[in-house]
Amino acid sequence: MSASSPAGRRARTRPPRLARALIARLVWSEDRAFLLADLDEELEQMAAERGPRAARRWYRAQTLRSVLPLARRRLSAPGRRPRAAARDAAPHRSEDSMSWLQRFSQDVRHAARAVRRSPRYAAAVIVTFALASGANIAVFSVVNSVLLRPLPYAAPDELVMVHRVTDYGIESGVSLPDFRDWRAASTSFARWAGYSGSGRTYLGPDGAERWRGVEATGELFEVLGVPPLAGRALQSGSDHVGDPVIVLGHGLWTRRFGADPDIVGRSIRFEDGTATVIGVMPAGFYFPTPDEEYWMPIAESPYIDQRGAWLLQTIGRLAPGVTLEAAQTEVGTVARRVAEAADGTAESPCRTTCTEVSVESRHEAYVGDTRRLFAILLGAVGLVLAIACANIANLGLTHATGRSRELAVRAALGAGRGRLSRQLIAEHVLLALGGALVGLLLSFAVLRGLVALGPDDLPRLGEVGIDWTALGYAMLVALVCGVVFGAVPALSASRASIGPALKDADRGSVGRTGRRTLRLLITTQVSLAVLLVLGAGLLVQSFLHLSEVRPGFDTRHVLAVHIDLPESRYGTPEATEGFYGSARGRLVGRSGIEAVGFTTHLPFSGSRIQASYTTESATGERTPGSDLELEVVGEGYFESVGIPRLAGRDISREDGPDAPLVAVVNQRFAELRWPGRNPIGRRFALDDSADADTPWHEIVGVVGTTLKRGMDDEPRPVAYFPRRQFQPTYGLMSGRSGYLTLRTTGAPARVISTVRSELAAIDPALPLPRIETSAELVSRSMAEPRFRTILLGSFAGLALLVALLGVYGVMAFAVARRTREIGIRMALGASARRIRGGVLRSGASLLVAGLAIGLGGGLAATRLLRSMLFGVSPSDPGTYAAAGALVVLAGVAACWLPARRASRVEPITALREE
Amino acid sequence: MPKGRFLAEFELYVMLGVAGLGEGAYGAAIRRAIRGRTGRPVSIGAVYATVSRLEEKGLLSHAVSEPRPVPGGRARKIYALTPAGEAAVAHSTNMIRRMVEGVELDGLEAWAP
Repeated sequence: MSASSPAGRRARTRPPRLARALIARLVWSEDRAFLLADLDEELEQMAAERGPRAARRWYRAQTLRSVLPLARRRLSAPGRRPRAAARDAAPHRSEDSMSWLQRFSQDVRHAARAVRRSPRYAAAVIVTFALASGANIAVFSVVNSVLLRPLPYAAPDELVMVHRVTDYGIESGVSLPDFRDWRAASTSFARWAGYSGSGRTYLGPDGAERWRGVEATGELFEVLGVPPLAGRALQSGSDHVGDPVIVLGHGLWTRRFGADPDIVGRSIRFEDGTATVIGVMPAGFYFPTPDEEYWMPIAESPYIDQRGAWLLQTIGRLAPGVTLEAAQTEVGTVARRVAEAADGTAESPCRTTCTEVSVESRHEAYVGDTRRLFAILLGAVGLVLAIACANIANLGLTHATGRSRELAVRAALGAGRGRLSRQLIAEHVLLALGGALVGLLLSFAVLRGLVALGPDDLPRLGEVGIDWTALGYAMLVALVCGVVFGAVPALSASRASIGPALKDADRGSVGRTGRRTLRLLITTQVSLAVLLVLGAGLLVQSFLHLSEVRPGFDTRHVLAVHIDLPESRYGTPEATEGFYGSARGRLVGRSGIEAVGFTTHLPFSGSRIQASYTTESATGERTPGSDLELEVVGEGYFESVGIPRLAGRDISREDGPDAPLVAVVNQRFAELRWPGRNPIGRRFALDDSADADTPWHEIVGVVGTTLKRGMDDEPRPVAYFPRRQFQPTYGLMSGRSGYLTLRTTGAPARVISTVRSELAAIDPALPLPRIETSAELVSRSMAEPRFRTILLGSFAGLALLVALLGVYGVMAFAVARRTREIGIRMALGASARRIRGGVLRSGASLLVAGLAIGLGGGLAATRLLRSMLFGVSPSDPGTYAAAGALVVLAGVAACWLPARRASRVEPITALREE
Repeated sequence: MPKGRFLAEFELYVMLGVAGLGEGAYGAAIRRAIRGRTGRPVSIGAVYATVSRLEEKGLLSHAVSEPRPVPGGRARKIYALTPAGEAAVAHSTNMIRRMVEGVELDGLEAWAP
């Protein structure tokens, strides 16, 4: 091809060395010479046409572009059966995927065979992994259902809650007039609705039933964006305050009306009126929680139009392009402007502290509190999983040394190291998947337990279940873990050289790196287990401290009856007082009942109300205080609940609507406002502006401080007002809704039936009231700490168990491996005790490192738990000592059996053994 | 007509190239033919991979020629269509022709029979 010119042969162009070497390696041997020659031929031609540099560039480009086709061709298995080849008519890509598939299925079959050959090992791996995996899947399902899954509304991340913020950063409600003004002036929301919880007594064919639901402004369903199942939902144009229409929830419709298809348009009778069903919502929809079963327009009431009645919560859908922060700023400005404009009407009870607003995403508001808890739980089960994987890796290492001969033979027969590793990993992935399947079954049970144990106020608990996401998670975890703990023996096996392995037969030695890996894994397991035990120990201590807290009221002999008198029959104060008077008359003095009282906001009941206040200064001026909580109580309340009277007198019969306004305060209030002085006789008023004209209340008594919100609450200032005075003065809290409180002699539960029958005798039409003992109230408030303590404790126990199985396994393996050496030592005169001691010592050395790391790491890690601890610091030395001792003891126990076995070795048999 | 035998686009070009080149159908020549006629950049590796695959499918066969009697001459692998290969090419081409017939598209060149 290169023409001889008269001047002599032109020097041949040298192809670029790297490219040539690369393509020479890529092409298969039969065609190598031909391809390279072809390239050289074209190189020369290029050089003649365009010059050597361009030619070499072309060569390199050709090489690069040839990489993929040549590689693909090579990877497709050579030498396939002609039949298969003839069948294949598709483009070349599927050929490669077929060969991948072929190779994959071969690995799987081989892995299955290997698993079948060592059933005990397989069982150990599967069981260990199933335990850890089951716990993981269960916890993940809870987190997924509660935290990750979007709420059942259209575009749920556009939904936000808007609250008013008072002092102490407490979020409070908005009044209807304020809400309307804010909505008119604000531009941040596409739609905005206000709502509040409500309850109505339904008069059904078989008796009265109390329903919980929501009263809302008409836009609520436009905000949420979920279309009704039947009929229509509330609409802003058509449904006004007081309209007697109702939208039913799916559960209510099924439960109470048998899923009647003609329900729309029917009239429903309540105790205080009727309402027409205009629609039914689909299954799975709820707002704000699954406990609310119906939605109606806001009911008419005398204070609905008062700016001071902070009744509504609000939920809005952000306008397109508006961020949370922007909305917060804008609404805050609007709120301030509205407050200033309303100044002159003297309707607004406060001016300065009540125009802060907070805008929070609905999702965050509903489930945000659970984030911390779930993070800790996921971390804990993750640690358990890590321990299990380390355990299985250990098992794998020791198991692999037992197979070292088999592996060596296969390697000698030509199986590449990569292939052997791949097959070992495939085996373990298979085992992991099997373990995950068993774990899945376990997780159903675990999940049921979690849901049963879960605190009632854990949001979306009813939605918890194992769905496809959880399944996918389970498979993913199994895959990753299988690869991880399959890689450990794979690496060690691939490193082992063939010769010694063949010679050593079954006395396979782990090798130095293998031993180091074993120690590292054990240390990891032990330290992680120690971490979990520490965490659990701290939580257990917290829980114990919490349960020892004295909330300030009697926790053993109090019964609380939730009263809800319908306005239709108790519209006047006389009627209400008549009811309570009859109740006291019938119940006081009954056997087993020592005292009877009443309050509108029972501690630990979840309901409470705050107001701002001013106190009277020495010169008669109003000095603003911050917020206090208030309870409207009847006579005998403090005695019935066990709150001690510290000074002055109790609320009495004389404190009626025409008597001077009085109040009783708790000690915290007194300490706050009049430290070191006697508050009796001083006066305060409910409002916080210097020139309001709310009436003064004179303090006539001081009582002990109770915790209001839960056992970990801090003491707050509380003022108690006589029921017969409060409603006439403020038009709120008539006493129709509240708690009848009873002090009992014996167990409170014993008088429940008496109470029910007496109340029924007073008013037979009253629906069955909810009755709780104070012990139940307290227990409910501790539900979440109990939940996480039990959970973390269980995980810690599981982790310890798995870690110790690991220690036991390694020790047993070590003893078995060194049987010969032990036999020699005993033959030379070592006593059984010395042998035992030796084994225990070597076991201890394994534990010590893990212990040290675990305790040290614990100092850092337990800081994460700080918000969940009560009465104990994250570095509480007692807990650390106890955790350490527990792990040491358990470790010794794990080493005991192998140690005993070592001491029982018969020298003769050991020496004979090969 | 062989049932279900349909060549991929590039496989068809390679087959047609081999058919067209006759005795000179070796790697580089096939590459140049496709490049020259279609303008599509072709790598030598793709040609060899495709040829190898087609051979495996029984559509091509090869013979190694004697080294050419020139300095630097070398043996070459010359490819040829097998009867099955010829049928496959005819089948694919006919299918394309039938689809093209009557279709009017901007830039669609006239189909030479």
